[in-house]
Amino acid sequence: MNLSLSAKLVKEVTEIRLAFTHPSEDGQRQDPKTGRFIPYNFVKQFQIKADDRPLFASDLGGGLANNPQFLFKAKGLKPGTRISVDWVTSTEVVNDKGRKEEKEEKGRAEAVVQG
Amino acid sequence: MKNISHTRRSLLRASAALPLAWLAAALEPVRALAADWPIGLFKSPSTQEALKRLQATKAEPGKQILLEVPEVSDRTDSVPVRVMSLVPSTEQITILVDQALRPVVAQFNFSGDAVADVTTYVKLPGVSHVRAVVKAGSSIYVVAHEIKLAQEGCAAPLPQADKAQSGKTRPHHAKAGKA
Repeated sequence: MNLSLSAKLVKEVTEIRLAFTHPSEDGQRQDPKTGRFIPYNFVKQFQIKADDRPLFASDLGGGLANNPQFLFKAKGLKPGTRISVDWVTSTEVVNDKGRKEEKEEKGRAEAVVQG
Repeated sequence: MKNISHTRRSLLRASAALPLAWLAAALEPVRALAADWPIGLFKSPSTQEALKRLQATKAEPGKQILLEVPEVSDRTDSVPVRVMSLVPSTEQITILVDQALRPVVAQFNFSGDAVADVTTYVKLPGVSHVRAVVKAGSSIYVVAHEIKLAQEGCAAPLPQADKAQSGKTRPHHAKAGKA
């Protein structure tokens, strides 16, 4: 799981681009060879803040394209503003008792607004 | 959210002495990450059910909303979707792909300096309608556009008369002006 994050001030709008390297499986797709359902595995949520002020809170599903990408816009964020993205991914795993359960992975990426 | 009113009350007490602009930003709910992922919404098996959950069954057509999708796509694995709302105080945009097994694809919430203009890429199950539900205060708006697939661009149903003449081959007539 990798997140590439960039933030750039273009005229008066700060463009924030996210590019996740991660599958987008919703658990509904069948493997064409085995017929088995491919377990869900997708980017589930992220929150974007500017200098710790909330900007975007996103909830996502497995219907996005693989390696999900996003372009967000914010007003008036000056160069040097610290942008942070806290993300969560969700995967179906089989636990020690042989039961399916959800495993979440969390992480954070940071970038600074470029002028 | 379970603790939202508690958070708001304690923020109000703490920020009494601070400038107004900071106070406005501080009142935005700070969500615990991974809490409140709207499971029922994402698992809705139809657009109709999703619209009910979004309280958008009586939504107005969105005149101040731009939903930008390609009219025709030659791929189904990744199609760009942009939603821009000019409605003041837009708080939330939800994107749906009507014909997907689970139509709800993404939900974006905006606060602070965020502008209600988001672009992402979705998967298509075939010819689909992509739909945006926009929430601004107590108002809800909906816009939808169809995306055709490139291979189907030229297909047209044969006129009735041709069906009677079996054994003869006729070229498909592309119906111009419908795209």
